[in-house]
Amino acid sequence: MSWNILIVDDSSLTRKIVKRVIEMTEMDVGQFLDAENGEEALKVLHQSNVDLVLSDLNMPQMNGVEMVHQMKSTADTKSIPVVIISTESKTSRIRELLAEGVKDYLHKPFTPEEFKELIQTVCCGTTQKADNLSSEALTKALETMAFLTVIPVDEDMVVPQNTVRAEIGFSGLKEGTIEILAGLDFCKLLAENIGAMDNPDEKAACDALKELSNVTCGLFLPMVVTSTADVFDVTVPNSDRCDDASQWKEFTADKNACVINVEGHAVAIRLTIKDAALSDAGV
Amino acid sequence: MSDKNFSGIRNNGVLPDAAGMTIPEDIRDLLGDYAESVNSMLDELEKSTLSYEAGDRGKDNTDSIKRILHKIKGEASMTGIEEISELTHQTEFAFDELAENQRPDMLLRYKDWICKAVSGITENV
Repeated sequence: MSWNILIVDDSSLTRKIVKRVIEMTEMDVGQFLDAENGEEALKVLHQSNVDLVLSDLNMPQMNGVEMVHQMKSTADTKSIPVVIISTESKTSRIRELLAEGVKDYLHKPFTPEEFKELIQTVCCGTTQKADNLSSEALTKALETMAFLTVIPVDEDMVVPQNTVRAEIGFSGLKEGTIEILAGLDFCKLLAENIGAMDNPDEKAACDALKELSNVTCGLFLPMVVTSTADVFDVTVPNSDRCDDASQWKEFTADKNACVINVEGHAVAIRLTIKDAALSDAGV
Repeated sequence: MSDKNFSGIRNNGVLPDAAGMTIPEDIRDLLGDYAESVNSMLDELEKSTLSYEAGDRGKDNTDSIKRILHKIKGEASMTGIEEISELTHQTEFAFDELAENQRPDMLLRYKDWICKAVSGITENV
């Protein structure tokens, strides 16, 4: 799909640079449209098909917030995603903007990579992205931290009966939890690799999974938030054991869960992410 | 962020040399547009500042000054000219902190520094 993008900024130079950065992402853009302020943007929105609005906040005549208000109160424009691009850095202000209906926020200046990441979140939805991210983050954590090799998922891998579940949460502009579910045998393997332990006991196995969930959280956070400074709090991971095989089935049936194959062991991960401001606003 | 210290704008202290700024290679073709835009904003800033000094300290003129500073910061930030972005950031803070009668001198000093910096940029392109 090619995207028609409306860039709203009272600086023609900034509009030009934003366009250039987008072009560097090799994103499929159908048409670039631009406007000097919110009022002009609303006119463009009524005359053209726009898939995404990138807007500054501080503009004469009509600022970005007023423009979003007007867009959200009009049937034709209320579902068009708006991303604010500004030098504004107060987290309270950004939370307000998200509550107003702004889809996301990008701090000036930004790199093509940051823009690409944002577009994936905005256009592809959080659920699909969470699946990819969780798998990617866990794979990276296992390979770099625990010296384990991740191989393609197949039917021969060991699906655990006795499981250990570790969970870590974070809050800020985005709130979420990261959960890892793995077999006890796998957790012992993890303890051997991370802690160089011989014959680790069950407690050491649970601790190893907690440690892994901590590292995985650190790896994926920068991928799902604009800045890690936007994460206000990360909880200490905890873990619990389960000897009921149904836990694995229930966990992996969740649409946000994904499974990877680590040297023949099935390991599942689930990310739940939501916009805190939208949640506060009861959306 | 620039590692140069621009806190002197708040207390009439020393500012780093306006010459010799680092310009990102990939925006060199836009520097002409940049200089034109900043110079136009500096003209507006000077007019508003002189009105402010002469007694027009109402909301409209104050907002106009803040809007110009914010726009200069935004453009510098997007073009990657960190020194101008940083000095403007400090100037925005100083404007809020300083007494009303101290603001015009600070703004004119800011304007002179940016003018020098921009002419340095355009000479080197």
